[in-house]
Amino acid sequence: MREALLLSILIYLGLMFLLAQWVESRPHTRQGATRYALSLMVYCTAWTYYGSIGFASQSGLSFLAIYLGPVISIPLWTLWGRKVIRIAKSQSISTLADMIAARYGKNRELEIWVAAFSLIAVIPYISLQIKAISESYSLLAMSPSHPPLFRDPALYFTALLLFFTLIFGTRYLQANRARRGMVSVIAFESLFKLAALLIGSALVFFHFFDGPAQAWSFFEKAAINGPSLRIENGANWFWTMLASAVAFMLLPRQFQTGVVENSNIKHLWKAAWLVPLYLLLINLPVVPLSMMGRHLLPEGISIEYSLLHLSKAAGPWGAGLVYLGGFSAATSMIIVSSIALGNMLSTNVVLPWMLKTQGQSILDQRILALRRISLSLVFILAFLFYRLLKVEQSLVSIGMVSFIGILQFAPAFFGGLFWKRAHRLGARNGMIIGFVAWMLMLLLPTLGLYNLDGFFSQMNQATGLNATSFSIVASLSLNLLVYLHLSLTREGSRQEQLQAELFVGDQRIDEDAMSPSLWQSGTPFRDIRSLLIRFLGDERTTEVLDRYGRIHGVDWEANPSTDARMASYAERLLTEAIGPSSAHIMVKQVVPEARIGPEEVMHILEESKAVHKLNRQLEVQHRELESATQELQNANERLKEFARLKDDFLYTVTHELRSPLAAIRSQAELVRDMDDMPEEDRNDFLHRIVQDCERLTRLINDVLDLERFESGNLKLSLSKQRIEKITEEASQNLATLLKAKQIVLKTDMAPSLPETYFDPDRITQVFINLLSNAIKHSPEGSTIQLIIYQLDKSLKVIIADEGSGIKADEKELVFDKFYQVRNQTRRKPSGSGLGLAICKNIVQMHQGKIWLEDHSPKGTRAIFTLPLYRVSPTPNPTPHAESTHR
Amino acid sequence: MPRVLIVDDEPNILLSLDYLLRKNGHQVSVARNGTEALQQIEEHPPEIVLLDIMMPDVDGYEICTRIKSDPTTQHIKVVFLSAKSKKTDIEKGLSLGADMYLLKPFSNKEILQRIQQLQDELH
Repeated sequence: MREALLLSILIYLGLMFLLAQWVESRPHTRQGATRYALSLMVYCTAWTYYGSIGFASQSGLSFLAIYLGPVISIPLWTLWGRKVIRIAKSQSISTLADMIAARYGKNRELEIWVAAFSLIAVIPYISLQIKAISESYSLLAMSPSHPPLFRDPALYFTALLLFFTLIFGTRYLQANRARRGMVSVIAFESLFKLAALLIGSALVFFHFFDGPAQAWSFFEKAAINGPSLRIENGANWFWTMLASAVAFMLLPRQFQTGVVENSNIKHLWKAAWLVPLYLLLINLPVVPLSMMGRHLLPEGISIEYSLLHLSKAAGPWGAGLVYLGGFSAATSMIIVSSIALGNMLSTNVVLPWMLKTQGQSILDQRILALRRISLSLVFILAFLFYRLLKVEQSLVSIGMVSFIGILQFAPAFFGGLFWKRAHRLGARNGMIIGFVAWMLMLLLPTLGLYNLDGFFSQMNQATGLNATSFSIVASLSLNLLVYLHLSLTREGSRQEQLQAELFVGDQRIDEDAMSPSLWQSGTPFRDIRSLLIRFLGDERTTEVLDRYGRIHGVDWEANPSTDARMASYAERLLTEAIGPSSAHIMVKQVVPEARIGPEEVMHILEESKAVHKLNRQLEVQHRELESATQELQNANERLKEFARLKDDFLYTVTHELRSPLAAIRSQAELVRDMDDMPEEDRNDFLHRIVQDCERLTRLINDVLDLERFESGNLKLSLSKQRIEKITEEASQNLATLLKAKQIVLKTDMAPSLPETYFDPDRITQVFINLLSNAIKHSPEGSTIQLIIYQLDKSLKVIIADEGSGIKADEKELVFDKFYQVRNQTRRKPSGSGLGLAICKNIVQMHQGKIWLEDHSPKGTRAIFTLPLYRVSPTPNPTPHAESTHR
Repeated sequence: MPRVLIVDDEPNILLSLDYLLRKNGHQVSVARNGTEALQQIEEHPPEIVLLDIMMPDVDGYEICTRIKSDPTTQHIKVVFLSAKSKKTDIEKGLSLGADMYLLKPFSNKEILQRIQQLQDELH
């Protein structure tokens, strides 16, 4: 059992590696909305997976409040989330501490407090997940529950998880850059834990019950004996729901998946229905399982792990699956929470201190190293906490403690989003007061340092609230009071007012928009450049500055002093690496702040809006211009190609004219110069001269025809005709040629071909051209077949000779006018070289097709189709303009 | 008298040149295409070839190249007689070893003079 379990855990982890690696290696696949929604379900940890069952067995339906909170608040979250995500992207924010500090004027003190409180609130929660992994393992593997350090399997699982998180969680210097592989793994784990829970429960039901009737009677009895399943004390429900709704948004792992890793704001819409559906499904089996755990398992067994115990009875496979489901619920929480906390620890706590002490050295690699060390530190702290404190609390209570800790950020966070007056001192002091109250009432007692049970039961009698709700009310009211009081009595700095406008105002701040800033112009470019290099490294600095220069058309060589926009761009870039307040301080060391009054803050905001709008317009115009340029280039290319073809054509025409001219001249000179030429020879030469002249005339006519076809100047004159009449005329025309070579023209036509519209002169020309071609290639005494039949909507004409045939590669080329254009030294055997090109133009003007095929056993078939027009069509004047210029 | 081979796929030119050269006392043979020409050159090598370039089977450039690369025939004088009038066409013809390049249409007198000139070179 133990070996099999270990093996399946290793296989599971291996699959996670492969999945993450696979996603990372495909940089162009998009993060889908489903993946985003599922990754939010990192909300369901081992606490949900195991703890809810234990909770339900003690206090009935109360566990549901933890899920109803997010379900009820998710419509709000889709609205606020849009705002939060937009602000986070536009300000390069990568942690909750960044976000709160940025709102209150990029305040360094505030970010340290938020980071420190997050660590205190969440590290015990991570320990609980390690505990769940370890306890469930020892239950299943029958190993001792408190093994020595190096025999504790949790040590090795935690080490593997750390390894995984280091690889996929801290790849890039920019802390806000999407971790696609990791998000995919989290989404997968969400699916897996849900499937494991549902399948595991189904297995258990089928194992213990023979049918629905038996199950029903069991649950009826169990319901009477167990805790009430009615909703009692609405106030307790309300406060738990409030805490969980806030936790769903502000827990470090939720902020990480919901805001930092969001790749598209529209994904929120899918989350809006997928999250409630998921939470419903994962809670369905909880109550029945808790009843079964209570009644079917022996006394003294921890009800929390009911599902594991019950599934053990159903067989090793079921138990293994259930274990892996819990493992995935715990690991996804550990991974995401420690990435988020690691980032806070490095960016918001250690880095500010490091910047003070480290002078001017280059830091880009060290920042990455620092982030990895911080991440490892979070893992180590959580593991030590798990080992040393041996928390005996149930999974639920420590989770709830953690929720209430996070709740203390709510006033500063939400107030900052919707209240311009909110002041940093209010945020800071309120948070501190709230946290102190939380620690005293919840954290320290939960860790077993002292006991407040008496106090809480007194309070319960006085207020009707349970310990949890009372602590929520007490800590939150103190927090809020201080927050409101200080905000209303203080006035924020200019920087704080500006940020407040950006966070609260209805300005649509888009990701690409430049944040307005309070920087002065005139800082030397090299100063900003060396500042960036310090934190981003040479390569990335060059890259981002090049991009900036390209977008804004700035040439650093020519213009060595920078403007305020450049300073805020640099600040934003630095924020990606070191967080907003460190970035602000770093830029401040190089660029002086502008001294301005409150009206000017508004003015800057308006300006930035206008600039943004202008940029958009410029971008559109730029794109239009680019596409116009492209079109012009294409047109120019086409013209060039056209001119080249014209040149070739002209050259070929003159060449074709020269040959008959040469014959004419030579023969005419013979006749002129030889007085003693016999009468017979003289007549023969004169006869040939006339023949050559006729050939020249034909050639010139053909050239002119073709030019008119191609320029679109020649219109067909259509009339309703019988095709038989045309073929008769053509064969009469060619009678002499046929006779000369003793060729038989065999006509094969369907008896009742319909009348149709075409241009009789032009179609006669086609027949004559094709037939005379056929005659030219036919051996003496052979047969030429002329076949015409009706297709569905056209006539098909086939002219087949028994000549030597045509090569496959020439079948199309011969329709090019003077196809020697491409093949300069080989003469086409037929006459002017234009006959087929003219045929093609005429047939295409009639919307027909023309082509050549092999004729069996030998010879060539020229084939064309002529669409049947019962009524006069409107002929397309230039259907061939492109086809003839191949 | 040297023997002249006329190669052209234009029958009327062939006829006219044949008539002209015979009447002026030359020994003449004719070929209507590249294949016939190559055959004749192999069987009865002439002294002078009047050679068209554009022909349906083997073109004039090819025939010239073969004549000039075969030691047994390279002494044959080759005269291109072509309608191809571009400078590049002429240069190509001469670079292949042809002795002259005449353009169509030509005058009979010029043909006779050129052949006389080549004849003088032969002796």
